[in-house]
Amino acid sequence: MRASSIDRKKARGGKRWLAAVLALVLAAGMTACGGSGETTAADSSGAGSSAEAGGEEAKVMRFGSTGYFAAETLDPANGWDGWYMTFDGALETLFKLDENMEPEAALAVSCETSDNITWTITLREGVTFQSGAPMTAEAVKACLERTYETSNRAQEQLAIDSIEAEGQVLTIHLQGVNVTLQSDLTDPLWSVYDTENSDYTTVVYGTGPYRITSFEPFVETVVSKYADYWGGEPKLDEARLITISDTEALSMALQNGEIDMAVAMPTSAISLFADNEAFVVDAVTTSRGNRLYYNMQRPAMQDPAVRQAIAMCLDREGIAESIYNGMATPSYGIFPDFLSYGGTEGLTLTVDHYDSAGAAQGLADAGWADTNGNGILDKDGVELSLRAITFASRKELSQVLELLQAELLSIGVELKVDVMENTADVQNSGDFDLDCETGVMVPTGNAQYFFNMMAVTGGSSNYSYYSNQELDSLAATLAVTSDDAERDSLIRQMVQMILDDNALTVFNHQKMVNIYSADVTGFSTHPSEYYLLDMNTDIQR
Amino acid sequence: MVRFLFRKLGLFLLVFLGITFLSFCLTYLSPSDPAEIQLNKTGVAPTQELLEQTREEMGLNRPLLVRYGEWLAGLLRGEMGTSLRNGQPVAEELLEALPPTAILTAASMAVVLLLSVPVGILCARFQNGPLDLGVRFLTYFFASLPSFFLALAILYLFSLRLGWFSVIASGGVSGYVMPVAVLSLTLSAWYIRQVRSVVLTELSKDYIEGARARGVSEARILFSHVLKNSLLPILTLAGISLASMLGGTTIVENIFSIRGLGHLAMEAITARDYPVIQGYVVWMALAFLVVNFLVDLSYGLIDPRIRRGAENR
Repeated sequence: MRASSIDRKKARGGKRWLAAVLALVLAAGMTACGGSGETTAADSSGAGSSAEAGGEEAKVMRFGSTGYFAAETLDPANGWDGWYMTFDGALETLFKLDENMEPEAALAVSCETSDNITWTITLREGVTFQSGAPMTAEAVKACLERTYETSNRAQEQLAIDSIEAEGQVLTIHLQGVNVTLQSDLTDPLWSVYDTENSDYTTVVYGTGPYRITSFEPFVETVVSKYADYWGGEPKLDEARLITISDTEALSMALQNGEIDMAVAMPTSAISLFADNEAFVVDAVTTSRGNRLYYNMQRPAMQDPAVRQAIAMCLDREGIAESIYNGMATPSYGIFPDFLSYGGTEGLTLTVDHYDSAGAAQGLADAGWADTNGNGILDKDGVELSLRAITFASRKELSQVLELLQAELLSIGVELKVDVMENTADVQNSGDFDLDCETGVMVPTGNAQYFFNMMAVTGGSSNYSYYSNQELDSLAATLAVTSDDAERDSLIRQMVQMILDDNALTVFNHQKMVNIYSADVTGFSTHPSEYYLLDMNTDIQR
Repeated sequence: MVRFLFRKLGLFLLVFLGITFLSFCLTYLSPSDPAEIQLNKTGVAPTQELLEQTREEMGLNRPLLVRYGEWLAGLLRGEMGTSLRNGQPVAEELLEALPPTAILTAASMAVVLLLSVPVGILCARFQNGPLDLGVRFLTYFFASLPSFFLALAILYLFSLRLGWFSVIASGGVSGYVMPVAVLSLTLSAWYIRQVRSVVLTELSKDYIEGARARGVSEARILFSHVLKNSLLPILTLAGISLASMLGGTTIVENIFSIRGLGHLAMEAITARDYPVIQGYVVWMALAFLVVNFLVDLSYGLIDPRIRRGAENR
């Protein structure tokens, strides 16, 4: 109906004339104001606009995202900037993750250790930085040492004692046993860059297929083909990675061809492209877990029956389908199926389906009853009136809490939902009962990350304030266990403990959704969220 | 006049100090620890020792008044500290975000005044006529539309359907046409009604009858006498809008990917970047105080009775 109305409008020249006059008036006003002070890039009048290279039209691809091109500096050791620059195809690491989140050789060709303390890494021959300098062991040593000195996170992740370099052989001496060094080195924090020629404010030289040629934080990053890339010639001449803050604007930019790919498209916009042959909806389950923490410092949350009841009231299938538009995989365990230790097979599940009647029964069995007739259950003077927090930028999380609010109210549990821009202060103060969060649980494929952050006693993101000595002990064992089968077994034991205690509930694993023009070739979405642009990504013009 | 200026300036300084001190206190009292925020951006939870060391380095252990005094002294030198989020000087961040906001504000206010003053006057002159009724319908319509909805509707129509402008704002003039249109339409809806109401009051006064009896032309009555006498309330309204828009138009900036002050403020709030929030408060205070000061001054220029009153006092 809207389309036909617009068609009629198009047919009427008068409307166009009016709009053109308005545009002219505005343009004149702006000219009078001195024009724009921006120094940005090219007029984005459509997908066809592109740079010229060698007399031929250059092949340019445009990526848009609401928040995935968020590098603040050109320093790979600063915060998460290395991640974003790896995403841009500018930086690479010694090892990278495969489709199953297992480390595989990248800039390194082999890795050996006899004691898990001293690691000998042989580097690939013939690799050059985008500055033209060769990637030698000495250059990699300088880079790793700089990152280690600059970044707290690097020091937290690896306890490096010293590094030696000879030819293409790098020897890393650690301060203690580390059985997962290869996985750890897949973190883009450890990306390899040229310390001799980079200044990290205007230029950084990595080894990737694309070199950053223009950088305007949170606006646009432009990368150009690095012709001497060790893996072969990249297919594109240039790629533009543009931040578009608004989801609707991002969708429209993709629809009218101003961008060729929308990266990490929010789930609310997916239906627009799902049945359209001009676009590909490429969705892959990642280890991003959408989860609910139960603050066990609060009296009500200390009761296992309450945690169990809340977990039972989460309609995981319904949430994945209606709130996440099918772009999430419901979970009754902790880790996603594609990980060797993931899924629920072999586990004894405390909750295996949505069951609000069972939840109500469980609470009644535990002695919760509405003794004062106000509609809210209570026990020993404590009312089941809970406060849930979440943050605003992922609106699905607040929708999950609203759904849970209705479910819980039907069984006599009151839930007040607070949606805030930043939850850190409340998390630290402990003034909440439930915290709905999202996050990548195993960024480098190593489950140790999840347990250390979110499950062991005092973990920095353990917002359930969960403490289980047995789990802490197994986590310590996991840190020094190198055999894959043994590791998987330990991980499963720890997962079982978390499920038994209902320490937290991972209600689904979110899919990474990239939507792109059907003209894009050589691209597939990776489950790690680390990688986007590589030498094979291409677009048919 | 000189006394008037001094009085205004004194008041200006007092209010400015009050606002900045209050916002500094709020920052001080907030549960967030700037040292922790600074360290957390690296992605790890800092140790207690590191936290203490960083607090000491950042001067967070000193008394509130000392910190406020130092911050104020820095402000006089044009320094507002550094962003906790990216380590950039706050003044630089604000200056970078200011031009897009200033362009949006200036262009939108120009369009609003050019559109709403003549239309408002004509609506009042032809009260209850077809023009008045039509414009009244439109003003109700645009005043009740949330700006985000209008922005998306304009984006849909002019970018997606007609292809006249790109969704991604380019740095040039064309990148501002749609955001200015959104802001102007929303504001004009209020302004037209306000102008119409003021002019209607003015038209009911005796001197209008007198002018008509003397054979003064209708256009001269409207655009010379009535407009002049209606300027004060319009100017007051414009002053408030101008100062408010100089603080950024977050929703419009967000939808049209314009990195102005509204966008910066929103990011700073989300990241608990207190130095930037503090700098933003200073800017807002300055914008309101300066604009109000100029509006006050202009009253005297427009209406001699006010000037004389001020002089007599």
